[in-house]
Amino acid sequence: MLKFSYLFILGIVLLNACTKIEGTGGTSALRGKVTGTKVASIGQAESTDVICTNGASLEHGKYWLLNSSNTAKYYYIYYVNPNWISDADPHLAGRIGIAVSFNYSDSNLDIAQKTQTALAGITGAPFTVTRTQDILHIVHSTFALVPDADNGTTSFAIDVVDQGKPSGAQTTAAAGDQRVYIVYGQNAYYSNTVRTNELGEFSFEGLQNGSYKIYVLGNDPQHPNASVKVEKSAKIEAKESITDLGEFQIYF
Amino acid sequence: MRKYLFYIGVLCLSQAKAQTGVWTGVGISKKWSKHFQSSFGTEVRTEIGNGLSKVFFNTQQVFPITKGLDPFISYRFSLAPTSNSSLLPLNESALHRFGIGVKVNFIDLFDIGNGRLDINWTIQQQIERSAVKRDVSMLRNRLQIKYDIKNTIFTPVLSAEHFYRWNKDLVYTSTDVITVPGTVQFRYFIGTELELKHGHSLAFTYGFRQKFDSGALNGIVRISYSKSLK
Repeated sequence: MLKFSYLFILGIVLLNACTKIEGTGGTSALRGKVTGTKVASIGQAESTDVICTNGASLEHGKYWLLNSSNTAKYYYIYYVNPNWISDADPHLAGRIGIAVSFNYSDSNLDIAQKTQTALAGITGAPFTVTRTQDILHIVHSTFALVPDADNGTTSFAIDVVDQGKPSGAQTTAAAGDQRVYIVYGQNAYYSNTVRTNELGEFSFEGLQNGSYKIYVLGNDPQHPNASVKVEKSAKIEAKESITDLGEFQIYF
Repeated sequence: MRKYLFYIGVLCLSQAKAQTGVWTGVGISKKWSKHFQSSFGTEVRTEIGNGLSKVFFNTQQVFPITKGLDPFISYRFSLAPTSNSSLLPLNESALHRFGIGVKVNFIDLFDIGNGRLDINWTIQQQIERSAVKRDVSMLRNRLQIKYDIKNTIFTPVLSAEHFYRWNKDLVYTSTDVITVPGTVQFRYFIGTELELKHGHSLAFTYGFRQKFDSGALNGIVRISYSKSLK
């Protein structure tokens, strides 16, 4: 009878050692916070094409207007025929005058080339100029709003190819109502999810001791249609404990 | 007396409805000596409309100290379908329950009455463990009254039981986890035991349990057979 009692007690002790496994049914909690960064919109440089006419279509003193994002660098490009003795400069206030010498016999290619040379000579120009035949490609060096160029008194065709716009501001804020995933132990896929509160905080509660992985999915700023997993590992080693995983930073 | 049995049966059936549990069990007991006796049993619990709710094997070892004072230890191994899947591995659906307590029979302890009345109080502490559920630490108190009717096989029985869980709720504050104890349910039974020849006995009882928080009542029909070995 005594042996039987010992066996019974031994059996109870052995059975009492039944292993708990990761997951619910415990008393501990894993917590954290999710913050999201709004991906800044990429700005764009103003790009303008200027199609030049030939010299016969120009007159001494004709000009066109070129602007930039810097109000101190507004230009007017005027044309000077050396055979004329009068002043070709229209002296527009608030602008910098750029003179281009020409002859009536100049072809449209000559006018384009001479204009390109004059623009390239501007010190600290806020743009770059390239040329394809009689077309000048003017690309501004900053992402900003730029008042459009105007053909002024010339017969040049001016076309704004790309409208300039500034880059959007990058903002970071708490990610509310964001789904957070938990993987129990060595599971391959998530076991449960919760959502963050308005402060971006989340809490997985009622967990047993063991290893867990917590992750959040955010946008991939390089690939708009792809998701990026931000994951952290955690280990609960004590009952009735709260483990803080810190901050999960994602892109909205 | 048969008509009483009939009335009890009618009462049970009239109360049978969805969420009513039907518990059927078989047990065997053996008194090894004056200070040691064992019992083993198994029970299947179903719910009308919901199917199997639990099946278990249990054993209890009693170590009587004196007449009317019976300390005991117990163990129960249960299998229960989980809410997620009925195909979970055994270690995820098994529950182990360990108990230690004492049964106090006041009539025997104080040596009063004519031996037909039995008023006993059982207090036991139980720990239930499973792989996927929170441990349950429960204190149970049961008061039971039996009366062996002279010259019949009937022993009407009446009981009331209180369940107090030491770890009823968990409160997760911003910094701590607080365990909150409290009453979880009451359970009441009424019925009769039938003492048959050669140590056989049957018990038919009807009862209900009341969840403390929700106040929900569930009926229970319990039928059990036991054999006492000499």
